[in-house]
Amino acid sequence: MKKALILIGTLAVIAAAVWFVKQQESQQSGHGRQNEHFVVATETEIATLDPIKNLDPHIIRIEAQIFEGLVGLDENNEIVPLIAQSWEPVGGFEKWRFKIRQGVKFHPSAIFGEARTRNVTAEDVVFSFNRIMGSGSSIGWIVDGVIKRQPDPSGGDKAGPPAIKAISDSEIEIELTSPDPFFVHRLTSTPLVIMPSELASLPEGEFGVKTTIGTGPFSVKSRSDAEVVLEANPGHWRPREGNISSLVFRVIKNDQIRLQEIQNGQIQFARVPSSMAEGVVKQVNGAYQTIGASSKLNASAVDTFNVVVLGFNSDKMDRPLRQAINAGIRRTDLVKLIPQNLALPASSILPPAIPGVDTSKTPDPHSAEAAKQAFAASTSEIKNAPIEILVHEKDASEDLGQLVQAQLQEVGIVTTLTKLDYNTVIGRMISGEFSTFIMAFEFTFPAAPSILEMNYNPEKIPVPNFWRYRNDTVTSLLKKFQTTNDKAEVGSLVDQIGAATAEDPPAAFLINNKMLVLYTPNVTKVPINGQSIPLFWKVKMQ
Amino acid sequence: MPWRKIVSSIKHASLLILGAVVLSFILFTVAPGDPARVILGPQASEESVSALRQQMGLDRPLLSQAAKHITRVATLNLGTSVGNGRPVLGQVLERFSITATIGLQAALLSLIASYFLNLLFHRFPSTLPALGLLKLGVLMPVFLLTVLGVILVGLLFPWVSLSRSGSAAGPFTQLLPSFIASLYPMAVMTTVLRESIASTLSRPSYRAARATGMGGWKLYHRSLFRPSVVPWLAAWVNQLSMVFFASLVLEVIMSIPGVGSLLLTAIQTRDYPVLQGLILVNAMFFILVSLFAEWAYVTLDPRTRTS
Repeated sequence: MKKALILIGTLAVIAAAVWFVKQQESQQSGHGRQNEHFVVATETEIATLDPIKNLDPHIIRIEAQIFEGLVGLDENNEIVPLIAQSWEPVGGFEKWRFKIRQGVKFHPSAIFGEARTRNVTAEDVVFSFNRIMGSGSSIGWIVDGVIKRQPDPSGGDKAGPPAIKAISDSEIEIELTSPDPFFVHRLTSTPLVIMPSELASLPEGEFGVKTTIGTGPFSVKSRSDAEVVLEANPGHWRPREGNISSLVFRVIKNDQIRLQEIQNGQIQFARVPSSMAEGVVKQVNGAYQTIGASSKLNASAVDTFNVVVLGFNSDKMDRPLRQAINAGIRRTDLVKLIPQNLALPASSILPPAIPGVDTSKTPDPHSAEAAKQAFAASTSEIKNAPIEILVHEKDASEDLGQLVQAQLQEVGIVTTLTKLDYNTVIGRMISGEFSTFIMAFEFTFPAAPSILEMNYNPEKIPVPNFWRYRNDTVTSLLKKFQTTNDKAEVGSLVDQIGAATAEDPPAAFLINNKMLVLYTPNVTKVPINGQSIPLFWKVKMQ
Repeated sequence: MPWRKIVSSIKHASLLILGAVVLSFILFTVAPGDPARVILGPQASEESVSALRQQMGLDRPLLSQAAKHITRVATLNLGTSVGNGRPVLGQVLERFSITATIGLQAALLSLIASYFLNLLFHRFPSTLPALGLLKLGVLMPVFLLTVLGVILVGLLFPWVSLSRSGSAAGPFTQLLPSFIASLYPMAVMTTVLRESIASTLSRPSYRAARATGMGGWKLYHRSLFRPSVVPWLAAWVNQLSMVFFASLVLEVIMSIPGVGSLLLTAIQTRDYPVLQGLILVNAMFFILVSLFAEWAYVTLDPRTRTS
C-alpha cells in the first residue's frame, strides 16, 4: 500500500512538473518572449475584424493597426495623409477631390491570385465607401447625410450608392449633400478605411474572420475570438519608425487580471480603467508615476475626444429648468469621483483635446443662487415631480448620476435615478421617452464645427440631436460654417455658439475623461491620438 | 435502457426544446431594445435603422416571424449573427467545444481528486481536519468558490498566466480553468465519499472483513470504497451541471471564448440568432446530461430499476 501511494505521489509530481514546463514553453514560444512579441491587452472578444461590423472602440484600436483610411490623425491630433496623398475642394466645399498615393499595396493574400498583392486604386476607394455606406454597415452614420447619395439604381426609394466617382486610376471625387470645409477632418474617423474590391467575391461573414486585408503597418497572421496576432508589414509604404515585429492583441476582460498580467510581465501594454487608478499611479507635476506593485512599469494619460453629459429633453424642459440644472451641478466635485485628475470638468460639448478648442472661454456655469432662481422661474410641468435621470452600466454613469442627484437636491431640484441597460437608454433617448440621461460621447474626428452641427442642428433630431435642441441663433450660426475654414472666423463662430448654448443649454456637460495606459519599461513611449488609437508602428522595443 | 424508454425520452426532449425555442422567441420580442439599432449604433439615422429592420424581417407580424423562426430552428438553419455576420451554428459549436472541454476535464479531475483525497484520509487519519476545509467549500456558492480560485492561483503562482487559457489552442491548455472549475464538485464528492465510507465503517460487513485479517489497500477497496461507489457516482452525475455553471463563470472572468461569454455578448447586443442557437444547443446538452444521469442511476443502483 505504501509503495502504491509513493508511486502515485511521484506520478502526480511528475505530471505537475510536465504541465508547468509545458505552460512555460507555450508562453515562451507563443507570445511572451520579450523583444519579439509585443502583447497588448484588449477588453472585448474579437468576433470579427471587418471594419463595417464593429462599433466597439477596443476592436477599432486593433483595426487601426491593420487598415488605413484616406487620411488619419497623428498623436498631436493633426491630420496626416495616408492613402490620399493630397486633396482639394472643388468649387465651394461641396465636392472634394483626392489623389491616391502611388505604390500603396494591400497585405498579401490569395484573393489577389498569383501576384499575392496589388496597388490600391481609385476603384478600391469607391468600393470601400459603397461598403461603408451600404445596408447593415455599423459605421455608415459617420458619413451618412454628409456624402451625397445617387438615386436608387432599382428605381425605388431606397438609399442609393454614395456619390463618389473614380476620375482616374489615382483620383476620386466625392460629392457632399452641402458644402463642408471640414469634410477631411471627418474622414480621419478610424473606421473609414480602404478595402480591396476583391472582397465582393468572398462569402458573407468571411472578411474580418478568415480573411483580413488592409494596407496598414501590420498584417494579420492569425485571429481567434480571444487573440489576434499581427506581424509587421514589410511592404508598407511608410518608412518604418518602430521595431515591433509581432503585435499580439489578447482579450483580458477582467480589470484586475489585466493589471496582474502586466505587473507579472505576461503582457506589455494595457489600458487601466480610472476606477483602478488609485494604487497604480500618482500624479507628480502633471505627469503620471506608477506606484506599488506597478512601480516597474511606465504610465501615461492621454486626452481623448470624449465628454460625459447630462442631456436634457428640450421638448419637456423649458429653458429656465435646463438652466437651473446646468447651474446646480458642481463639476469640480464630479471630477473627484475619478482619481488622480484623470477627468477634467467640462462646460462645453467640445473636448479640450480637439485642436483649436479653448475651454477657458466656456467657464464653469455652477451657481447655486442662479440655479434656485431659474428653477423658480420654470413653468415646466415635470419640475413638480422628481425629474428622472436615466443611467446605465457604462462610463461610471450611475456614480455620476448619484452625485448629480445629491447636488441638485441641495438647490431644491428633486430627481430620481432610473438604471437601465445601455441599449435601452439609447432606445429611450431616440424615442424621446426621457427627461434627462447621462451618456458618454466619444467623437471620432476633431472638427469643432462638424460636432456642433451634428448635435445642435434641428434637422438632426432625434439622431444625433438627442436633446431635441432648437435655437434659431445657433442654427443660423451653424449655417455659416458651410462657407469658411478660416481659423479666426471659425473660432469666433464656435465662441458665439458656446455663449448661446450656455444661455440656452441643451445639456449639462459634466466631465472629460483621460485614457490611462501602462506599458513595460523596455519600450519607448506609446503615442496615442485623441481617438484613443495607440500608434504602435512608432514604438521601439529594446 | 429499453428502446421504448429511449423513444419516449427523445419525444419528451423534443417537446422541451420546442418549448425553449418558443419561450425564448416570446421573451426576445417583448424585451426592450431594437436589434437593428444595436447593429447600426446610436448615431445611425432612423431611415437606415428602419431599412435594416425591414431587411431583417422585424417589421413583419409576430406570428409570421415566429413561424419563420421555428422553421429555421427545426431545419438547424440558425442563420448568421447580426452582430458580426458569422454563421451562428459554427460559432456556437466552436464555443461549446471550449466550454465542454473545460467541463469534461473538470468533471474528471473532481472524480480523480475526490478518490485520492479519501484514500489519503483513510491511510493518514491525521489529514482528516482538511475535510473541514472541503466542507466549507461545499457551503460556498459555486461562483464565489470559482472567483476565489482564480484570485488564489494569481496570488500563489504569479508566473502562471491567467489570460493564456482563452487564446491557447489544444486539449490540455484549459487545465488551469478546468482545475478551478473542479474545486466545487471536488469538495462535494470528497465529502460524499467520506461520509459514505464513514457510515460503512460501523457496518458488520466491514468488521467481518477486518476479522478475516484483511487489511490495507485490499480492505479499503473491497469493504469501504466498493459499497460507496453508487452514492459517489450519483453525486458526480449531479455535479455535471454545476461544473458547466462554474465553466460559464470562469469564461467571463478569465476571458475564455466559450458559451458563457458568447451568451453575455449576445444578450448585450440583442443578437437574437446567436441567443437562439445557444438556447438550442444548451437545451440539447442538458437533456443529454439528464438522460445520461437517468441511465447512470439505473445502471449503478439496481434498486432504482422498475419492472
